[in-house]
Amino acid sequence: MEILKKLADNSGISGYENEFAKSLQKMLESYCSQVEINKTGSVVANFRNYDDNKKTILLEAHLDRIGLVVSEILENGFLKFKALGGVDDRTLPASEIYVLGKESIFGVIGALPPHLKSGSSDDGFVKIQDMMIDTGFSKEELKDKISVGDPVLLKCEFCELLGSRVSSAALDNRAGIAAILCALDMLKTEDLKYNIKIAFTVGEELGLLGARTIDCEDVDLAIVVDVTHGKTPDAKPEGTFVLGSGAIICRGPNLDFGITKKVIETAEKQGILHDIEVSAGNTGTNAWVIQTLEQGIRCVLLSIPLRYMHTAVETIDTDDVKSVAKLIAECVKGGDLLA
Amino acid sequence: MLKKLTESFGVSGYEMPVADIIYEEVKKFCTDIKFDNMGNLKVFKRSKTELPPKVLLSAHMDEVGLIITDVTEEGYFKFASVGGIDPKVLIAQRVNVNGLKGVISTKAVHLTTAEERKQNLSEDKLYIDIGAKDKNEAQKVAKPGDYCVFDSKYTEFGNQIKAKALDDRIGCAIMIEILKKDWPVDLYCNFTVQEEVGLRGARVASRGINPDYAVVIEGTTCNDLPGVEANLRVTKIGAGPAISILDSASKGNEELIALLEKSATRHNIPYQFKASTAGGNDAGTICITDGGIKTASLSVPCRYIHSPVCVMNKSDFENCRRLIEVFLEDMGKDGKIND
Repeated sequence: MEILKKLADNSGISGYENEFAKSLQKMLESYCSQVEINKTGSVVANFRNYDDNKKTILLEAHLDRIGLVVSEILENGFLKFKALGGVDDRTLPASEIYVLGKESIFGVIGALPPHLKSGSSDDGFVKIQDMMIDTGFSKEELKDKISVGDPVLLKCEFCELLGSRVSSAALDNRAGIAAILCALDMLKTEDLKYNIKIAFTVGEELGLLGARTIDCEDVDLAIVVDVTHGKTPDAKPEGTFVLGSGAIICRGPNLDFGITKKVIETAEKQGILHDIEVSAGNTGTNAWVIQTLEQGIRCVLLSIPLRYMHTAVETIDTDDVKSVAKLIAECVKGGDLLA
Repeated sequence: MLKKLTESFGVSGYEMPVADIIYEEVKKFCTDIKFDNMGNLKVFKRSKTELPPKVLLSAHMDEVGLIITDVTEEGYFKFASVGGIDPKVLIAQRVNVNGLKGVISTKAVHLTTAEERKQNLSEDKLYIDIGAKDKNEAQKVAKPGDYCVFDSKYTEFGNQIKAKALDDRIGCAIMIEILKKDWPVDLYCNFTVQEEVGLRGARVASRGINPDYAVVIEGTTCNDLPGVEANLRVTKIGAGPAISILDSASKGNEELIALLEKSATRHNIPYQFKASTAGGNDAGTICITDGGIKTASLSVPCRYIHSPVCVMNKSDFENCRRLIEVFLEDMGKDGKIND
């Protein structure tokens, strides 16, 4: 929980990940022989010691989060902005934000009060291009603080709900990173049958960018960890998962048929809560890109169910993060995953 | 004080938490304090001068919020808004449910159709998620009829202040300040309930006082955004308190407006006129009480009222307070116009 909070309260907006990548690099250094940030900005590491005679498993999760970017500075310190990643316009009015410029500036995305709506415009739909950030400063005062192109963070501190459920912006995909870090912790004293490589990639929300440039030459299997849709009353029941249902194991052409089956068997044998998700084509995750790197990489996709994806109030059950961590650890530490 | 007041709980129909804060503060410098049957908090401070004019100040304690109407089998709360809330400002927000956090959102953008993304969500499509596993767990936290408020902290930013419930904790905070001092008028201060559901509290609270003048202190709409035509901006932030000439509930008393203007001019306090007739406040009911009371409204301009992120300017707040103070002083010196 602590680690998840720390991860979720970090910035790392798609395209502006440097600072967050550096803090992840530091976190990995206690587990890894070699940690570096590659040319694209992704964090790549070898867990403990690398042995040329062993097969290699890659654990991958994207480190970026969706956000906004300043596109214009208007009179009285109002800002126009654009989305970085998939944002539902309807979730933005009355949001609190930080503009991450030379200084970090608090602001709100305004919304017209109900008093000022005439009957006809009552259903007026507000598009993102018509919304504005109110910084409370004058245009003149803003000049030395921020500029066009600065990223904007949707503000929503990590908070605990009932039981093991938590809510925050950026749980997509800080939940996935937390699961991998947890798994590494479980594996730190184990005898390992495989080399373990870690990649925390950038730019996933902008089109799976970072995953395209990971060095996968020696990788025999990639386990991609991301989030999937949690069940809510307004979403269709198929393809969405109740929070607390464990590790969600995906099946379909994007994923290796045989190895995925072994992962499911491992979950059953070890009594790890899990469910199966089916994706008939593109999973929309980095697995889609990684599968066709090099001479082709076998992929497994493990997901954590998450409600309200790409909003400031993303919600998960931390028990599911633990289930994914445990399943990763059980799969990679030995057994016959790669026969 | 404004921070404490705006962060406290006081949805129309359940104002006790905020009323308690006001009571505890006011009793330090006033002795004649009483609650009536509706929950209005009425304070009287006698003048030390002979034959003083009688002035009533009135501000409402209640804020817009939500009331739980049902608990679903899956453990979500259905709700209705208390007072005018545009459902647009509820999406991807946090609320406070009996001291616990809950979130309101909508299914992930990935699960929506292009058509759905262009349609505003109505209140009946929304629900509160507190992370409960089922109905039973949710019912232990709240029952139908329990109230929720926005989870929004008082924040100073730029040259402004952001908070929930500025409408009308502004008025409450100003009246508390005024009550700390002695005035050359017999001063009645009514902290009223249920303004947001139809000016209910003031109807009862202002009876039997028969003041010479009544001034309603409010937070009012302000739409001074780039791109909005000057005549539709209602008020301008930073330009001083706004005097209402006419709104949907009442016409300001000309004689009293003239006195307010005279005091403002004499003491160099900036003020503006509210340039819209939309919205109404307690003045609407006070001016027809006991055969009629000369009533006017003085308001601090607030952007985005009735949302979690109301924004006001500190100098407008100070100038509103000062204008009321010099008005009371001048009233004691000059007496009533129709003496």
